[in-house]
Amino acid sequence: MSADARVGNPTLGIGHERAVEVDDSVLWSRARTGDSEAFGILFERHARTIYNFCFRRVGSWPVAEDLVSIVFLEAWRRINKPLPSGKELPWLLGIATNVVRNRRRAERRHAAALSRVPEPRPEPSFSDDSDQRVDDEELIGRAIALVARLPRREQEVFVLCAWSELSYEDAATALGIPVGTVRSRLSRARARLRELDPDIGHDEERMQTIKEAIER
Amino acid sequence: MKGALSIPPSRDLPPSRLAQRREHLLSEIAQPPSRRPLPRRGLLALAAAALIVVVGTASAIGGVRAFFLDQGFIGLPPVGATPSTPERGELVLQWLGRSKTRARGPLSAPLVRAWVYADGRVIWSEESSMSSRPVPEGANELTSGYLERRLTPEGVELLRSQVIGLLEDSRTPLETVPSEDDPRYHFGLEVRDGDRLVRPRDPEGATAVDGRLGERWATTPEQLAALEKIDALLTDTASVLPPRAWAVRDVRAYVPSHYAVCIDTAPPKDASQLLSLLPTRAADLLRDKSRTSSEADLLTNVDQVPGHMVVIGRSVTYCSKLTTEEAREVNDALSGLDHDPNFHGVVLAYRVAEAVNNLNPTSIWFEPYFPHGQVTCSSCG
Repeated sequence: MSADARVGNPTLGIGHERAVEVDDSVLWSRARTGDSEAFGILFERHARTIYNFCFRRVGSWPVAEDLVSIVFLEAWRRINKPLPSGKELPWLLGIATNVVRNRRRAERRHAAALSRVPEPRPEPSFSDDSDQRVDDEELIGRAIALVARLPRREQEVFVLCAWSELSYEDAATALGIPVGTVRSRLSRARARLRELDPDIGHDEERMQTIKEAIER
Repeated sequence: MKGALSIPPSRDLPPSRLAQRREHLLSEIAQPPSRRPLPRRGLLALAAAALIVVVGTASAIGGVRAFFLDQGFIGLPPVGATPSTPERGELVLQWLGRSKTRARGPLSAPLVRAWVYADGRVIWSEESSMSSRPVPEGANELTSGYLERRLTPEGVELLRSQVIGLLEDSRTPLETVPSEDDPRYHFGLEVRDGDRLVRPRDPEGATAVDGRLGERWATTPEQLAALEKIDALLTDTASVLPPRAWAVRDVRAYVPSHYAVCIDTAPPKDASQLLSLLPTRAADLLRDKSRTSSEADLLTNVDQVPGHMVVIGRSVTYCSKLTTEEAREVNDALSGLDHDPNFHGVVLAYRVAEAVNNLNPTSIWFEPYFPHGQVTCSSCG
């Protein structure tokens, strides 16, 4: 419940819920006081972004799913950190970057928690697109192989800015580096990728984001 | 040929997996750290912490994972328990009295103390009556010890506004709580209204000191009904408030960061005389601490007639504010003394000297400080 929905009239108070879109910063503040429900809403809101980010770094949907859990467990571990308003998602992506970078260590740290993840329930829609997901993994495998030829720091900037569409400022928040450093690393990454893959831009439909990132 | 940097479109986690992962996440973060299976790093941290404690370097404990207790305790917390934070808090509500809501029968109303703070903390204790033992989450069969939960800021405001609303709707006259009141011996209800604490005004102009909350101010049917609702709101908060009002609904022990270590005797003596009665190490630890003193009449009930009290002498109490670790040192130094039965097992207390002239014996005891910077009289009531 946001401050706007605060209940002052005792006769209306109990059990009266309002559907209010609460800012991430409010949810983060509540989570910092131990409000796990607020943290749950943040999870629902940003799991998709983190899921896709992790997939684009590791190339496997099931692994990405586990990494989503790890990212949010890590975020809870650091819940006492005050964040600038509106920077919750960049911060989560920063954690995701670190989790991917130190994946083995993160998986070891959270092995016990991951062992308690329930078995997947039958998911008709999931099985329907399972072939597509296999194709996804082949496609992203090639992209990861190419990006892996960049220095690690340039990889991280490139994936955040090009593949997750973060602004320079948000990428700077995620990585804890100055905005100028984001710009210079991204510029170097673009130049190297052009050298490495002269075919960049041939798949117009899917490459739009990448093209824009490289040509920006 | 597709470019090597082609990436697949974004996809959602399948809905049921998203729900399962969310449920799993919330279940993992809800587990008290002390019960969570520790990864190797956690075990190493715990071992390191234990070593640090052994060598007496308490300041290094800050690096250890938070250690919360899910059950109350009497006296001092276990070594390493994480103190309640923040250390200071603004009092929004307090309740000290016998609770009809929590009673299991006409004679079993337990004594409930509750404090609600602007930061969301609800700290309370429930002390059994003879027929309502044991108490829930009990530190022992007599008392729960001091426990803690956390409301959201909206939950605090919901509770406060409900209480104020019930008092106003029942036309209960309110008065500002005088700052000179000794909070240790106050029984009743206080609630924040703007920048002041208010309480129901006693129609006879006296403060109810017998713990039978409301019997003096709730005189009309409307006021009695309001009292019962307030009783339920403040003593059965977890049942009455909606889930969204709670930030942390799980019960934890309230772990204070400071204790009042108090010593009293009758007739009055000066502090140095009293300290000389303590074991040397304890006296040394307390000698240089600043202390407050208060003298009071000793009353006794004549012929068991309610309200028929007479003064039989005077007593003096000296209290020093110590950190938990300092209090622990004092406690260790008192280990040769017997526990004082006058404190009924609800307070950590030792008998220093027997009574003189049928007045009170000399005792030393430990009371926790609460976030509003006060102590209570845990053995009163």
